[in-house]
This record gives sequence, structure tokens and C-alpha cells, in this order.
Amino acid sequence: MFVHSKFNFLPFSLLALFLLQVNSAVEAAAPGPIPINLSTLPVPPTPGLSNGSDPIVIDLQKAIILGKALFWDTNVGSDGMACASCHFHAGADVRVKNQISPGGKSTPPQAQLFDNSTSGDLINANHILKKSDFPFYQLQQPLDPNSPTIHNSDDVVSSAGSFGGQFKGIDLYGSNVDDCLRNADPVFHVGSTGTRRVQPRNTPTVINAVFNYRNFWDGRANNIFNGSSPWGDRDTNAGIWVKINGRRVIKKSLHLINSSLASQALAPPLNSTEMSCAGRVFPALGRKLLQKTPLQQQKVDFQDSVLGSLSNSSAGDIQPGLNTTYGALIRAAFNRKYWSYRRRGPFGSAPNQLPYTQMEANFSMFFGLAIQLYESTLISDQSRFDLSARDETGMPTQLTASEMNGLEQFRLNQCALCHIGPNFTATSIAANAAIAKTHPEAFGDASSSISTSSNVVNRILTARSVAMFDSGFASTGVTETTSDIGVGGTDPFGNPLSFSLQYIQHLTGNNTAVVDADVFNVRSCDFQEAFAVNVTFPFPITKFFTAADDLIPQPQNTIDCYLQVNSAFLPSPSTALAELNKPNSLKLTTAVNGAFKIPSLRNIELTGPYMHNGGLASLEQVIEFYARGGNFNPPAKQSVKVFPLALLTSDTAAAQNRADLIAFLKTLTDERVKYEKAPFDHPEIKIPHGHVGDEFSVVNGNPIAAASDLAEDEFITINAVGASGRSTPLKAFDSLLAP
Amino acid sequence: MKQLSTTFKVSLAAAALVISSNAMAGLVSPTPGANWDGGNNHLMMAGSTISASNQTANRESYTGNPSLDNAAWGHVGYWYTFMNHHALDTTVSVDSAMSDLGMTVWRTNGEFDGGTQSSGELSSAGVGIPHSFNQTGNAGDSGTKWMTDSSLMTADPLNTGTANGILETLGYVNSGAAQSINGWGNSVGHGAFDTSLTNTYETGVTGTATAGHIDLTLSNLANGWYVVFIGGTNHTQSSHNINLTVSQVPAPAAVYLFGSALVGLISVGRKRNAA
Repeated sequence: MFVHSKFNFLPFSLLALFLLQVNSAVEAAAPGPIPINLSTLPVPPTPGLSNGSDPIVIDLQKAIILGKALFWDTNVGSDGMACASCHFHAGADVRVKNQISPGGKSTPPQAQLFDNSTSGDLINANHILKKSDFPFYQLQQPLDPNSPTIHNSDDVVSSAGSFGGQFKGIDLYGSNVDDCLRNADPVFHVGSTGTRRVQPRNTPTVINAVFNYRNFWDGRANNIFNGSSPWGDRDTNAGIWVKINGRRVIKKSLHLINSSLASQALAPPLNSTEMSCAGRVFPALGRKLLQKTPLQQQKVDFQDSVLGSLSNSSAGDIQPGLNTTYGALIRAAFNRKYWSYRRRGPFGSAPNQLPYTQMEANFSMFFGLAIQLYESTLISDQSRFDLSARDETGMPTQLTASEMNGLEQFRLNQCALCHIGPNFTATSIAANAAIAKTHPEAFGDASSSISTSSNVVNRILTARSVAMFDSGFASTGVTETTSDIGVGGTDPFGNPLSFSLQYIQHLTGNNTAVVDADVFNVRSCDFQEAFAVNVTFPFPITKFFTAADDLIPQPQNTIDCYLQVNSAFLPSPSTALAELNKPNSLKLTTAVNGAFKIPSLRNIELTGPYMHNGGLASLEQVIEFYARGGNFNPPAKQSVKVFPLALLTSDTAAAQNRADLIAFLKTLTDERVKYEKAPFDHPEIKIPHGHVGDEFSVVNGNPIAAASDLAEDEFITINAVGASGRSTPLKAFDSLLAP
Repeated sequence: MKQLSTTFKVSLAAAALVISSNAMAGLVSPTPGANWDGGNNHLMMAGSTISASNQTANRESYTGNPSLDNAAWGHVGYWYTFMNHHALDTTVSVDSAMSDLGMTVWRTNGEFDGGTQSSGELSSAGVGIPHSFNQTGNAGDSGTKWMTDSSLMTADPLNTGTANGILETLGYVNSGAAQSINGWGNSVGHGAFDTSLTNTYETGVTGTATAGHIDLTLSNLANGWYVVFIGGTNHTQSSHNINLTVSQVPAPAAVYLFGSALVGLISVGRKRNAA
């Protein structure tokens, strides 16, 4: 017997080899960043706002009350719009009627026409969106980028706002409708009757927007708040009035950092598509609101987490308005040197009216900062993803197997490289940089990492070369560049919105072209891809500068550089200028035209439709978009991050991978947002939702301007919600569409 | 009976040791052995065939990506390690619905660890390793230092290579267009190429490159570990899965011995049962 066992050892092991079947498929570990909990992300501080020896805001809670009231108050608009009229559903907009802009950012302007629907019908103003209208770019086989295109519309799904018109004055008899010269709009009308105008870009959510370094899809809401306009230091006429003594008040410039929410808040109230008649100014808006009870016609729940104690409501008896005034709130919240000057005179005046007071003159600052402080409370850090326990590597342990595969797919398919950090976006530049050292796992590992510094300019591979791009702004090929140039656009003063374009001018020595001081702090050794490497290469280099060019060391220190120190260099100004003047230069290319702010993915389940043009209705359509590698291949496209993904298209588990990825994205929904529990509770608001009739006929005679050929509004009423939330959850956009 | 089962358990353990999967945490992660068909990436028996079927692949991960100046795309292509136990002619072949395919076979020191430290190498496209790497260069060339075995990197003060790295680039094959640059100073030809500098690990490399099928035959492939990198070679084609096969033709004497041992085994078993 012993002889048998010895003799048979080898053949037995070989036999065992044949019999042993190891069937479990072990995935190779995904490289790169791991998404982490939002509570790790700090709100970037604004020195001087409410701290320091002479703060602007002296009572934060009163400022938040003021901000929430202003945000929801339909008296702010010239014809009934509030900020919340477009930011009411998880901070965004899910209306379906009269929500289409005919490519309002397309060039040339003649291209701004309504396109036909997928079935060839005319889409016009007052159209009710259907599932079959989406996506706005369709292939015969959604997962095969080589299959034929069957629909391509440059229309945009966004938010209906104001009727527009020319501002004449606020109504002195107390109506919330401003006195304007109004006519049927040349673009937005049914027949000869005017309809409400629609914004040219989809409305993003305000929730977690406090973490964004800049705001708006094109970044024009400047990180620096100047007190009177959205443009930061670019607006040399900006400033606020500061009382020196009883007889003297002077205009001073304001420079608050990390305040792009305040910059943003000043744009819609004066915009004639969103909220206002053209030509209205903030002091006039201030005069209007200072005469009115806050939320005058809007019911407030007695348990509203911010407004409840000031409401006129009690249990079982809900009433409109607050029992205070905007003036009282401003006086309580803000340092008196900004509103207590008693004389009029230096602040300008409206025609045929008393000159403005200091409080009216500074109303833009009170408005912007109060809105910013309210929006800073809208942080959704209690999603299932956040609340799950973590193992020692930082991975959640309380998600389902499907959701965990979805997280793996999120990393394997490179989503985590742009939707990075706790807020799931690289656009949270200062916030991500603040935790790059304490939470390095959120930004990569040894095999794959993303440079996370305070750089507002970075470098990325495009199809043509290595290009400068604005940190947090990417082109994924949703639309053609002619449909919307994004951050490649210019401000009203003729300056580029893009930091990268300014940076290149700075490299050539043209520093007068730099209007955002952040550009001077860009450190080349922190670029993701090298720009100027002080090394001689054994093969030809055309896409970046090397020791064969005239290099200078970067002006900043080299502490904690992302790249090796031989990349801490720049081309000399004359070299950069010579390169810039070359036709077809590859070393100073940029990827900004058609690039847009990368959105956060938090609560993404609730904030459809998606992308800057609102052209994708469901998360399924979004995943298909990325799975096929996008719709177009414009020059600025980040082509090594957005390309056809085999794991989501041709892999045997592709359908499961896509479904699991969506399941993971849904774990980013905060239940408090879904049920509008504090701090996401709110007053009642009546929002225009299309016009009586359809896209072929409407009813004339809107009482806003009865003699002016404006269509009658239809309204939806969102009921007031208190701190304990609503009984039914908010729904996803695509579930609200007719088939 | 008792001894049979004891032996069986012992050999099971031995077999398990031999086929255990390695979830690598290197700069790139080679496909674990468990993902091969039957969980087997060992050419254990003379003349056997092992395969990894229906594997995900990207259309331009081997070459043909203009953003990378046609370098290989280390995180998006797939790496397959296998261990050879018999010095025989071995053919590595890849089939796919993609017509333009490419692969390189390297000899490694032990099972490839995926590279363990960044070498700071930079390609002409401005991309570092392993996002971009040199798929046709020799061990130690630009774009391969990160994956080269440390035994070969002793003269380079800036790069020490990796503990289980490549020892020699044996050959590559490309059924797509040739690329005169690959971002690292080499080129990628069309067809099959013997890039080996010695006959230490094989005595010749030949192969075929046709639409949808590529193979390399390594004559008298030495015992030991190898790694293959596979991907598409055309920016315009659609991505499709690939089937990888590694097969050996056994020497005739070995077949006869194997067959008779197996017959002996079965007859022993029957006799014991009858007793």
C-alpha cells in the first residue's frame, strides 16, 4: 500500500489538477482614486466675511434667514420669478413644459432655431417634453460609436424664466410685477403671443455648490466677490459704499475669496431671460424688496428649520410671510458701516424717484452674501454612500454587491479621475487641495493618481497634443463646439473667461492680459502632464518644452511638487512668445473651447436632465453616452479619459456593469434631499410651468402686462415643507416625462 | 482507501498552491490566474493548452492611439502572466472580432509584479509610465525601465526596476498598421518580429498577423514565467473581446509516458475497489 501511494503521488496530483475547478472570477484591483465621505471636505474659508476684527457679517444666523427668504421670494423677479423657481427640486429644475431653448449659445446666432423632435415634429415654445425627445443626440446603436447618427439637435433643455422686456421702474403701488416695456419675444412665442424665455444652459443644482471654486457652466461666477457684480477683479467699476462718519461715505473695492456663490447670485436677478427686465439695477431691486414683507404671498411652515420662528404660522395654521422686514434682517446681520449712513446723494437715483440710500446702494452685497451663506448650509453629506461603515482600505462595507460592483466600475472606467474627491468633481479645487495630504486615497495611489493642488490651470492629453485646460472644466464631447463654447468664452469686458488662456499670455510676459490673480500662482511642477522638462530626450519631442529649448525655473518653490523637480520649469518669455506665434504649435495648445464645469454627482438621481444642454434624460442614457466614448470629438475633448469603454459595451458582463454603475450613483442621494428634510426644507412657491394651451396655441392677455401680447401662465405650486420633510419623495426627471 | 484520500488531499493542496490567484498591486495589475479558463495559467503538462476566453479589450491599447503617440496604454490594455513547465515550442495566439490586434511576449523573473516603483519616464506625448509604455523596446529601454527586472538595472542610479520584472522582450506581433513612432523612440512594425537579443529563453520567434488573428511561436520556450500584453491597434475600429490561447505541441515520447501512467492509475484504483 505504501508503495502505491508513493508511486501514485505525481499522477494523483495531476489528476487533482484536472478535477480542481476554480471558477470564481477575481477582478484585478482597480487603480486610482477612491471616492470618500463628504463630511471630510471643508468649506473653503472666506476671511473677513464673518471673522476677523471687522467682519462684514455680524450675525450669521440672521444672514442665513435673510438668504433663505431672498432665495425663495418670488418678489425678487420682475414678473414672479425667484431663485428657487429654477432651483426647487434637489436644488435643480424638473419642469417639463416650455423648457426648451433653441440652442441659445450656438454660433452663428442664425443657428438659434428650434429643431424638430425625433419623430420629425416641430418642437416650439411651450412644448411638453416626452421621453422620446431624448437623448438629443442619438445613434442607431447607442453603445456603438461607429453606428449612424439618427438625431442631432442643438436645442437645450433648461429653465423657463422671465418674459423679459425693458425695465422702466419698480411698481410704486406695491405690485410685485415691475414696470417694463414688454413685447412678445422674437424667439420665444407661439403665434404672435410671447412666452417666457428659456435659459440656454441646463440649470445645475445649488446643493454642494459651495465647494465649487467657480460657478456657472462656464465659470464666469468669479471666485472673488467684488460686492456689486459677478466679475470679481475684472470689473474695475465694482465696489461697495462704506460709511466713514455721519457726513462721509466712500466707495471701496471688495475682495472676498472663495465667494463665487455670492458672485453667481448677482447674475440671475438682473438677467432678462432668467428673472428680470433688461436694464434693472440692484439698488432698484433693493428699493422694491425693502418695501415688502419677505415671502409676502408664500406660506411658511411653522417648523421651517430657518424661517419657522419668524413665520406667521402655527401648528395647523399655515400663513404667508415673515413677521419681520428685509431692512430689519439686513440691519441685524450686517456691520452697520454698510447701511447706516443717513444721507442720500452719492449713491445715484432712479428717474423721477428719491435718490438711493446706502442700504439700497449696497443691496447687491447684502443679497449676494446672504444667498451665499444660505447656500453654504445646503450640504448633502448623509447619503447611503456617506453613512456606510468603511473597511481599513476606505471602501464602504454596507452597500449591496451590485452597488459595490458599480463602485468598482466607477473606478475601472476612469469616472473617478474627473468626478474626484468627496464632492465628486475636480471643480472643487480649493476644497480638494485642502484634504489632498490628509486623504491621499481620494486622489489616487501609486499606480494612478491625479495631481490635486491649488492650480487653477492643468494639463491633459487631447487627440492632438498635451493641452492646458482650466482645472475642473472638461470637454467630453456632448455637443459640437459651435453649439456652445463654454469656458472658452469672454466676459463683457473682452477678457477670456479661461484661466488657461490668461496663463499662456502670462508666460509670454503679457501680464496685463491676466485679470484673475490666481493665474500667477499656477505652478508648472503640479501639472498632471509635464510642460517643460529640463532633460535632453533620446527621441524627438514636439508636444512640450525640453532642455533643447530656453527654459527658466518656475518662480514658485518646489515643495511637494506632483511631478519630478526636473519639471519645475517654464519656457522663457521669448521662447513662449515665439512658440505661440508659430502656426500649428503643439506646445501651447489649450483645451477650453467647449469645456464645461464638471458637475458633482451627488443626488444625481434627482437632478436630471443631464449635461450642460440637458440633452440626456436618464442615468441610463448618461452611462450609454460615456460607454460609447461621447457624442463628438471636438479638439478640446479629454480623449484619454472619455473613450469607448469595453467593460460597459462589449464585455460579457457589460449590461450588468452599466446597471451596477447606476445603482452605485444612486447611493449618492441624501435622503434629506429626497424628502426635503432640514436643511432642504422650504417655503411654498408658485412656479410658472408652461402656458395655457400647447405649442400651437396659447391664450393671450397675461395680467402681468395685459395689453402686451403675453401668454397666460400655468403654475405648479410646491407646498411649504418644514424641518421633518415631506411625505412623498422627490422623483427623478425621467419618471416625470410622458412616453 | 484512507491512504488514497490522504494523498489526494495533499496533492489538492499542492495543486492549489500552484494555481493560486495573485491579486497584484503593482503599477499595472496583471490578470489573476483565476480569471483564465479553469483558473489555470500554467502549462503544467507537456503539450497542454491553456486559455483565457472572452476577455475585455480596447481598440487602441496596444498601439494606434494618437494622443499617446502610438505608445501602448498600460492601464487600458490587459496583462497575462503564465508559467511554462516544459521546454517545448509554445504558441501564443489571440483571436478577436477586432481585426487589428497586437501583443508582446516578455520573459520575466518570477511572476510579473506589474512594476512597483515609478521610474519617472516620460514619452514624447508628455505622458508618463505606465499610462504610456514602450511595447517594442528591449528591457531597460526608455518606456520599459518601470517594468524591467532590478537585476538588469544595476547601472542606472535613477531607476532600480522591479523585483519581478522583465528579463527580455522576446517578440511582438501586430496585425494593424505599422507605426513609425511609439512615443519612446521605437517603432511598431506590421507582422511578427523576433526582438530577443539572446537564445536563453527560446531558440527563435516566428508568428502570423492576419485580420482578427495574431500568434507568436517561441521555439523551445524555457521553463519559467512569461507575461503577454494584448490590445487593439487601431483608433477607428470598435472594441471587441479577445480570446487568448497558449498551447504546446508535446514531444512524442512524453505523450506515450503520460498516457501509460494514467492507464496504470485507473487499473490500480479498480483493483483496490474490488478487494
